[in-house]
Amino acid sequence: MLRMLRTRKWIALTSLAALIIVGFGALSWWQWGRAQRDMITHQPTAPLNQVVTGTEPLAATNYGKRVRVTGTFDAAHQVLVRRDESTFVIVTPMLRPAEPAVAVARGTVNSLQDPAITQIPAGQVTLAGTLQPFDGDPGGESDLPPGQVRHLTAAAVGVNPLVGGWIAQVPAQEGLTETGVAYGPEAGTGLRAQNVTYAIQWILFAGFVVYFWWRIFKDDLNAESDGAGVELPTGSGERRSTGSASQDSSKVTESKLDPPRKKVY
Amino acid sequence: MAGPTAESISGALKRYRVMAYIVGTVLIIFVAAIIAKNVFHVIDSDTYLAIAHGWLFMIYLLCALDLCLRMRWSLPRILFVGIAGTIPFLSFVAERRVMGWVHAELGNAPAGS
Repeated sequence: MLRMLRTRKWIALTSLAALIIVGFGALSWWQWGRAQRDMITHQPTAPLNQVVTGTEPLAATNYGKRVRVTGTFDAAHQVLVRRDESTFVIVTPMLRPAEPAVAVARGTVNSLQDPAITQIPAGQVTLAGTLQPFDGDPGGESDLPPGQVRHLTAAAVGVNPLVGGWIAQVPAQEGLTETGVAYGPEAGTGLRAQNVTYAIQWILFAGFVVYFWWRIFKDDLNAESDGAGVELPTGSGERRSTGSASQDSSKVTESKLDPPRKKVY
Repeated sequence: MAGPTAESISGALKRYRVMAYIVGTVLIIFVAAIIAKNVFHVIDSDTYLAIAHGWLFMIYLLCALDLCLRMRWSLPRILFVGIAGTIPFLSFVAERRVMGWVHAELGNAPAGS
């Protein structure tokens, strides 16, 4: 068995199989990359100051636009937006030198005890997200404890000057749930089914190579043990492996005249 | 191992022929959908057909390889039969040629014809 693997034919066949498997693996990886091309985290971002410069309310054409921004978080002005009893959006203003601050929704928590609320990244941070408009201010007295609001407005953030819209960080800060937004795609969506199946299929094709390699190998072993000296004299594998390509193609034409007993692979 | 006989390949030949017709038909529908989507803009998506063809082609390839190995065909011939499942109309051509080769090599009319 091992002796047969050392013949030139089988060294060639095995190397070819290995090469094809590596190639199919690469094709699978390529399709996996293509499958993700619609995902928001794979889409380009524009620097915030190329989209918005002043503090006026965000233009509707910029709703959902994907931006990136660099600055430092202002922990003192963090505010929790209460969406319902167990959904709180953590909004922390980001200060930028020489430009208005911008409110960033770092993510969502389900409990006010969640440690992520106070885990505010220190120092200079660069993040990406989608631009969202502020809520309208309904006025009236707030019935919520300090630090919590029902509506996300510029006034609720309490930093001046402030960009006239907020950024939903996408993907959310590690450990936090993505903030549900009204505009723009959310992360995690948009994996292309077609390319996902192609990626899976390339892996399965690689499996085929292994399976058929094994089948040919077994056939060859059987032929060697029960057909040695009769149909397939020893050394036949050697003879066929040399210049197999030209011989193979010649088989195509001669095959019509030549009854079975071909062991060309 | 003995060479192929009409009996030993009849199942494999039937499976291959069925898949060749299915894949060939789906592929033509798929190409029509691609044209309808990108040239005439009358449909929005050809994704389902792409996925269907992908899986059917896998089954086709398994059946084709199985038959080719049973027939002990050469690598160029195996490649031709395999790739035929991805080129419109070629799987029908390949199916006819496969039938011709099988007839020529096994002499009698094999089952499945």
